[in-house]
Amino acid sequence: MIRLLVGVLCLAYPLQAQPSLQTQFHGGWVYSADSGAITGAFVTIKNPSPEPDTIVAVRADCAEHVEMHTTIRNSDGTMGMRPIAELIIPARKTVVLKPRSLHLMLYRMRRTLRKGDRCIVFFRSKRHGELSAEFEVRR
Amino acid sequence: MSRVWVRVLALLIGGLLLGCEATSPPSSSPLVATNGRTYVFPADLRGKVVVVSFIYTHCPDICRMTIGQMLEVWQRVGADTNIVFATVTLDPARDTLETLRQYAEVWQIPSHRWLLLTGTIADVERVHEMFGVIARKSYTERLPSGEEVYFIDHTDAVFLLDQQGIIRDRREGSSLDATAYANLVKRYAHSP
Repeated sequence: MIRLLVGVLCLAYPLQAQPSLQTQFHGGWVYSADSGAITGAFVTIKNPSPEPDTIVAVRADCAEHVEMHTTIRNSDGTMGMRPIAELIIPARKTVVLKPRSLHLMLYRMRRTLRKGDRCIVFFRSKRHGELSAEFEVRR
Repeated sequence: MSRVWVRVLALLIGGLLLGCEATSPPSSSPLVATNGRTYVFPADLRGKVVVVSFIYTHCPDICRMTIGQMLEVWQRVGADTNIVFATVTLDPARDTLETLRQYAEVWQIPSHRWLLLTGTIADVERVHEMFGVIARKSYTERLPSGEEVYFIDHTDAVFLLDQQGIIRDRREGSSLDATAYANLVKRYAHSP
């Protein structure tokens, strides 16, 4: 019985220690938008773990649909966006989603967002399941 | 002179003229603005220095950066009555007057001396051609609701027209230095 308890405790310890190694989201912000519109959102994603993590899907309470996008420059100088299926956060690295680069596309806003409003974004991580972060409407 | 040489000469002169037209919009096109007025653009704005930008309202990244930069420039020069801002849609099919009005409200774009312009697809495309701006549909996203949303690959450029309608400056809109650009705009607004 004691051995069983020790075994359970040993198994539980890494799970309790896990939050500090979870993928983290800092400084999330979103552009203001009218209800029904499309807008962009940005965040810094930090992976403190010695293993890489991958974001495979994103959703938000304020939008009907969310995608991960990257901004591209074509050979003729035009700029455009393309969706990306997943976003790898290398071990002990930080990936920054920022304007003119990687970003989140929020489709068909469920409500009007103005400066100071907030939106909860949910990231599906391959290693940690669903993680949430609060985004603030910055401008 | 043989006919062949006359044709060669004509082509050369034509080419030179086209070269000149690269800095001066060759013609104008009727566009309707969020203030409800129709402008033969850009001819109707001659006499003012005009800051011309191109955006579409479904664009969440580059165009928002451009509008953000334009707003910063506006804060520095907007009080000057010699200067007008004109923002032309890259997406006339979706950017109706009402859509542009809502966009102006969200972004708190001043309604006086800042025109958001749209029009028929043909008229708007003519303006794109005048400025050498490319706008082409790229990929289409099918939302879970079944709705299809398309995006546009486009030129990221703003133009400065002097009081004669000649293009004096062209640069990337989404990354410009607002202070330096405002100084340039002011210089043209008060040059003789």
